[in-house]
Amino acid sequence: MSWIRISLAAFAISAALPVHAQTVTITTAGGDYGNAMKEAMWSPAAKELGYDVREETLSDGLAALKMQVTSGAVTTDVIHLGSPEGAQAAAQSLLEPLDYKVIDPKSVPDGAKSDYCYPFDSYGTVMSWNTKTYGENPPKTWVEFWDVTKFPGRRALRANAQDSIEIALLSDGVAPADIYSVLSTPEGLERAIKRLEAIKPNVSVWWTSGAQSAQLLKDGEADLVITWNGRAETVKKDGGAADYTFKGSVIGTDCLGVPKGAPNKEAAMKLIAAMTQPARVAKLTDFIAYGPVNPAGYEGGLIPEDRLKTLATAPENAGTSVFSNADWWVKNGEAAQKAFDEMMSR
Amino acid sequence: MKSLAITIDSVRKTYGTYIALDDVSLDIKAGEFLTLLGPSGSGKTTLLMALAGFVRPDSGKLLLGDQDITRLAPNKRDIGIVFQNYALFPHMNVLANVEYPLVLRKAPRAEVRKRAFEALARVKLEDLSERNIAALSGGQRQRVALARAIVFEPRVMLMDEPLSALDKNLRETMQYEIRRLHDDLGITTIYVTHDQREALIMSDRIVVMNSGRIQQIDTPQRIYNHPSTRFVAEFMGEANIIAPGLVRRIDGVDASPEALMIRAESFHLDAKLAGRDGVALEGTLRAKAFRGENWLLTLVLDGGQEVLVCIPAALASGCAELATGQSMTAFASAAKVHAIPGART
Amino acid sequence: MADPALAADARRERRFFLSLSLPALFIVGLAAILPILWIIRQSFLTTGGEYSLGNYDKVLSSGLTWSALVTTLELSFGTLAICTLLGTPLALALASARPRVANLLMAFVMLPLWTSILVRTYGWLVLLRRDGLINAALTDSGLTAEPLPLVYNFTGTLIGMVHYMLPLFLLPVYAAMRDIDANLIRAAASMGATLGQTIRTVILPLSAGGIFSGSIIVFIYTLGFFITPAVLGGGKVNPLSTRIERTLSTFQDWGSASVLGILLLVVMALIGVMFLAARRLLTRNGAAHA
Repeated sequence: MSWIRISLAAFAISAALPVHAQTVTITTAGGDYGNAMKEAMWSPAAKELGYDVREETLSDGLAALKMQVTSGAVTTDVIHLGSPEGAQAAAQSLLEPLDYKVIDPKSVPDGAKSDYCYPFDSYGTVMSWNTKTYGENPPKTWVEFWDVTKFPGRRALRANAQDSIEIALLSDGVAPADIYSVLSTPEGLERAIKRLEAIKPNVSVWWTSGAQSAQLLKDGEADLVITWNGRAETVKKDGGAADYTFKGSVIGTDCLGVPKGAPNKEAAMKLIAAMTQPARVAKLTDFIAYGPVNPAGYEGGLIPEDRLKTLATAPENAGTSVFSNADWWVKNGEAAQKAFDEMMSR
Repeated sequence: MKSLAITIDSVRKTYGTYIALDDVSLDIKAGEFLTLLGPSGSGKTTLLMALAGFVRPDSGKLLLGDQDITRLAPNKRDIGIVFQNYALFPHMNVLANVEYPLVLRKAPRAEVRKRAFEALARVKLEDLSERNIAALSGGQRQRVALARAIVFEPRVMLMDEPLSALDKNLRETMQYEIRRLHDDLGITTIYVTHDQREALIMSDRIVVMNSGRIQQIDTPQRIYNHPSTRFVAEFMGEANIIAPGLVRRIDGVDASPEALMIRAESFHLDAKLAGRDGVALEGTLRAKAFRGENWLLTLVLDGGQEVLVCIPAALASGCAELATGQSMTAFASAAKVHAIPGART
Repeated sequence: MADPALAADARRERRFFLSLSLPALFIVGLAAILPILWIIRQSFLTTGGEYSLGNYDKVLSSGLTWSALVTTLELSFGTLAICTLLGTPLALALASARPRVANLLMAFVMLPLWTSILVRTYGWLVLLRRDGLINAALTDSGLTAEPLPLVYNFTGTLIGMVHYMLPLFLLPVYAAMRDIDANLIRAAASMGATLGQTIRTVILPLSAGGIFSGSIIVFIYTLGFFITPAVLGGGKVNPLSTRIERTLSTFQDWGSASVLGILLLVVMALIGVMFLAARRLLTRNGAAHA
């Protein structure tokens, strides 16, 4: 048989595939998190719908989304974003409106609703510490985190204004409920930035990825790390000398959106609806400590009792938390980030 | 300028199993122009580099005057060297090259300039002082190299085949100029070449080397006319080494040694020109070649040995008519027949 | 009078050899020139899609741009300075070693080039961090009481960059030094030059071309270095490359990022011109004086 016939046969096979299965492409952040989403959420959903789901992984979803949409070469149907990025993407018309006839509108609590990016899980930005350094007496509040004489040690913060400025205001005594009203005043942002500048000499690393923050905590490179609860929990579970608290955490959500001009828009909506069924978002917590946004995910014992403690949105943990305000970030994100970068370059 | 004598005492240098210098001993007089002559691989350049300090001998001693320089660093030996490829600094112009050794010696600026121009004047290059090296001809580069080697008034000068890259006419001019420069300065000079004519023209004495050993040390005339070994005889020109038994007639020549040396140009085809005392060789003509100033004939003796016969064009009126295969006789006067001790044919 | 048939043959031959360069020209045009043109176009486009100088105004009036530029230049010149100090003697050692030894040493020097920059950068993290190998050795041996801050700062970034650039700097310098005629060095010695004088007056001037080439390579690479400052800088070392990344990933501002890219290109061109001018000046002076 000649090579020409073999390649013609290959054409016949690949041409035959779409007839049998709807193909949908999903873009996630990859790593442990992306894998957890695959195992718990989209893989079972794909089986149920009979879809052939392909995964692309990108660490920077929004930049990739913008490039795909503006260049007109959209290859992904479902994209995983942080909710502030989702809101930003919606403001820049990079997303299709969600089809709430396919997706259950009641699955999202009122405060978290979005017309463009469906919030499915939540996480807390928390204080974590090295238990070898602080033993039984770690800092308990952000005020103490900022107190370098009482709690000497190297700090690690995220090299991003997001969550950092909220935490900076908490450390300055602002009540969780007042964070965004303070930040919305002209002096509020400046106050947060000043607070960050005060701790800057004690910050040994400004991290840029979640994996990096976990590594810093695990290696003892930093004694006090502001990180995401899922990362801190993983380090602790793997036997690292680390612990964390949800006290004063900033709660954010991640969401799923459909890029403007996605090739398989309708199938994408169905996939979002199916992969965010309560049982599946509850199952996600088997792999990573990011709790469901859908209240139904906490019902009926879908999540074991002892695991609830590790979730930022569990009722007992959410009391002192600040809920990240995506709308505020869409309006003020650029100014806040610029002020943050200027503080870093000083 | 005070020149110095050089003593080379049992110097040996090996590279693995290869013997580059085999216990070489040599005395060079102050102010002498001495040439090291030999084929490539004979050890002449190795000996020169040992004197310069770039080759470390395995054993033996090198003396400059009465100073032992065997272990002295090259930059402390105060020896002027002219390299085969000139080794001029391409990033400096002519003047900077010549000034270089004086600048190293931290001489005052004005003196540096003055002496550099004096050296350039000696080689007739003072007009090209601002030229870049790349813009010079081969002969001009050679002169810059000479000027640079003499400008710091070294006690000894070493030259490593300095003319080998020049064409024939220029080479002859430079041979004359180098010798004149030596005579003007009176500086002890060791000159390396593989060109026997150059050695004959330039030297006070010639050292013929082969395989790391000195074959003969003598004046050009004695080296040419009285080679002490078969190697020297053959290296110095077209020489025939003949067993006395092959000679048809011998008058006034000592026939007892094992071999006789007769140079090709010592032969005559006319017995009268050779004189009464001498030898006659009988053979057949195998080949003939016209070389401008002379004819070269190849004779085969009865025993099968080839003999080269060189006849000056002025005396060779009949040579053009000679036919290969014809038998003929060559004559040489007794004064041109030299016995070579210990050489076998 | 030339034979027209022979002239036509000559023309055909020339055309054929010129045509050999077409595939390469095509790729260069596609892969280098088009993206640059696209970036230039982007730099004039506002988010609304109109042409204006707004992006330039925004980027060039921001203090962040200039502090990033300063960091970029500090990293590049710092890397160059250390590469020159370490690389030049190393090249000299290699060039004067016997060929077999030199080849072996060269293979060791080139070894880092065979591993990915990401792997190497994380390798440095393992070595340099607080409980890394170097700090462990230092504190265990009692040389230092506290671990030294070797990484997540400017020092660590510089170490990583020098490690990456040293072989690339070394190659042209080594090639230039190896090409120096050994007789030139002997000649200098015979005229009385010490080793130091020989290096200063002969070896360095004659390898200046290689040092310049090496320096330009260092600049071309380091001006745009991203991974090393991002991983080893601990967020505190922010050159133009990380500035571009932030502008894209946090603000999705292609216009401003394009302006930053063009700024980088201009800086590179300026440094290139500066180097060529300096080189011409130096070679001219070098020709006049020892």
